[in-house]
Amino acid sequence: MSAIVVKDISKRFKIPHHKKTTLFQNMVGLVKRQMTYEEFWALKDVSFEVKQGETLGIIGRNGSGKSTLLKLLARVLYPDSGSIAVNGKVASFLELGAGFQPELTAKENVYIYSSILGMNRKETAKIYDAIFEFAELKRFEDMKLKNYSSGMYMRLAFATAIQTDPDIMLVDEVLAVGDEAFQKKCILKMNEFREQGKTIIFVSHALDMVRQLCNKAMLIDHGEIISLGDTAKVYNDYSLLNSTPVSDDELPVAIDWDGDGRQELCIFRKGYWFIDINRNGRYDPGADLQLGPFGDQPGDIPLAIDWDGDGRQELCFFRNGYWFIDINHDGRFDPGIDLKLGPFGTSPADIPLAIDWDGKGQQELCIFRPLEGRWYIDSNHSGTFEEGEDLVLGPFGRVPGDVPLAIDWDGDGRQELCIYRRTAGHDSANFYIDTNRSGGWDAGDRQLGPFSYEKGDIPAAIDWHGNHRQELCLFRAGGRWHIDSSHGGRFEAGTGETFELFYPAQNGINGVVG
Amino acid sequence: MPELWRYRELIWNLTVVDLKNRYQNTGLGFIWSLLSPLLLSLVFYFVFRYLFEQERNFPAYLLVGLMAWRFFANCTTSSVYSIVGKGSLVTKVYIPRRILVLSNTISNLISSLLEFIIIIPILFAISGSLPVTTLLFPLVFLIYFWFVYGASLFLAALYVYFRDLNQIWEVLVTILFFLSPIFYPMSAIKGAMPVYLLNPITEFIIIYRDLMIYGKIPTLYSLSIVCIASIASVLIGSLIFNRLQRRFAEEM
Repeated sequence: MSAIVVKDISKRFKIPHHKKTTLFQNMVGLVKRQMTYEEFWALKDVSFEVKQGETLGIIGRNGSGKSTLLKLLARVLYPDSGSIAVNGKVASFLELGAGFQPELTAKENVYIYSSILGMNRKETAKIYDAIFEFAELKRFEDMKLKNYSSGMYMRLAFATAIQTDPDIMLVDEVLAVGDEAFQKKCILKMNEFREQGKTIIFVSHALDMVRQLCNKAMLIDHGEIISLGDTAKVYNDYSLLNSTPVSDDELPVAIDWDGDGRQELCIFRKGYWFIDINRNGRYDPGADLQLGPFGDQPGDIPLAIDWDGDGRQELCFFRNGYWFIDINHDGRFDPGIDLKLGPFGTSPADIPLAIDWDGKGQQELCIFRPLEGRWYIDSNHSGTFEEGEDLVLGPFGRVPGDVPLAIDWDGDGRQELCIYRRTAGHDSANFYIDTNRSGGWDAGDRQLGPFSYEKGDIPAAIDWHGNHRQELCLFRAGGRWHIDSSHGGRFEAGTGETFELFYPAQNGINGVVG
Repeated sequence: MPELWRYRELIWNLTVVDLKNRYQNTGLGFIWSLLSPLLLSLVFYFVFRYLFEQERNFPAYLLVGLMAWRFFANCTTSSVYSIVGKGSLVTKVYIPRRILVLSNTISNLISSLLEFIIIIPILFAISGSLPVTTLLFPLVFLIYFWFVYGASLFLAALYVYFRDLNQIWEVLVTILFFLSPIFYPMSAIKGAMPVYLLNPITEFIIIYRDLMIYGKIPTLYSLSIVCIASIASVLIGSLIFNRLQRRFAEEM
């Protein structure tokens, strides 16, 4: 039986160019013909069905429409077209404690709040003790709510809502409140709910929680359902959404092509590799190298790898789980001579890396699996991953959007795991390096940064000086390379400790040292 | 309607919260709120008693008129805010939103009923006797309530979109005050009578005075006028409210 049936709903928001909220302004606007507004479709023809007893997690990036969808289900917003049929009593947790009166006591507020949720006095009286027991606030039932701490406030609200015995729960990130013990209690309660065959719809950024709670998930982006079904599958799709490169026609690679111990700047563009071999920070046609075509299909990912351990890094591209290595070092793919390794990393979200984990001088293939946060290293150098023989590290880097890197930060000849992660507000980013080589994030590890974040930033590790340590590097829009050449783990413009190399994006690669 | 019945507990709770806030949890709060209409009546009495001395029992006339007017004026001016002022109850949780207007109207009705009960002994003191028909005044409230509720629905919904409506409405209420026979006798505006009677509040005030001062049962004519006005008010108010409420959450 269906708990919720959503058919072709669309929701449009109007964003006026000039905010008019008074009658006077509206009349002026009418006369001047300024009634212009932009339309924004928060949801477009969304249809799905939730069966009774299912726990559906809705995930998506900020502004994807997931909260709008929840508000529509909660009947706070109305769709512009389409229909929603809800079967059963709904408790919505869009905001806990909506309608609480600070001037009244907790006891009075429980009665008011449960009446907002559609209960009458008799029904509330029956669950009254259970509410205060669950909230652990029995001692404070006669205290005015204005004297409650925010944690107590939330506990009271959640306890009340959960005890009203709804058939369908709509939950929007509210579980992020309260201390850990109470959070656990909430999750237990929700699990109990699920076992009773009740329906839960859960919107969250906390992907761990979605995975814990939900047996089905839905991914929304730009107001449309991208994928719906098994949680693990939707997860994978979500990570794909996040790992799509911002500029797909130009990618940075740090490569030691000539084997002088210093890594050069290299730009990979549509199968061609432009290497700044004279190390002046710009591309000089004739003097600098242009290699390729090598990896000219859309979606090919370029890598630099020293597979044979001769001190020079080879070109390598990764295509659908196969690794192509230019082992004869001529900048082209020669069938029969050059290597094709794999399959290793066939899942669409997998990110390939080259890493010298053991410090033996050869770099190994490595696959980073987003969200899972696992690093699969082909440590026996066979070209594929063998369960049991090869190495699995992690979890390290489970936040959506995490970018994995291999870096030899300390200069001991072994490369460490490193995660580049944007902060929640996305205006800065940090590098997290597993310096103690435990394969996970712990107390002995290093966080470097924060670095300012610009849209399109691609992180890299580069040994620019050739002193066997790799530096942090950010490749920015417009072809700028920011290298932390002082190895301080930070760079700010104008401190003199950093320098900037410039590659303009247009008309071939050319430019000046910044 | 069945939905409203399901939420009866909430309607009552909101009404009580409203009353508690209005009188700040003190018994004296209610007395204070009575002071202003009584003083106003007193002022009108001293200013106009010579002008309108032909009106027999002018103090009682003033008092009843003013009290009847107050229900309409107080309720509509506070109802303007009954959606916007309730924030999270509109944007974060589903309840039938007209409940917010309904509970505000009920709490104003209760205040008004109490005020009427308080002025009954005063009326008795002024006139020396009271007609039996006084007992029927709550029945008028049954009709009057729906008239005011309809207007409140209209105002509350419109205010979400037009935030200067409160200023505009204050001016309109003042104008309506002078267009209703509150501090002057009906005989004073004989000439414009047919147009003047279009104001339904006038008819309500006439009925209250008939019952509480003159001991007259209201005519079928005036009863049907107020009934039609109330039904029209609720219908139009609900229609507009239902249309506009779909975008409440986004406009706030």
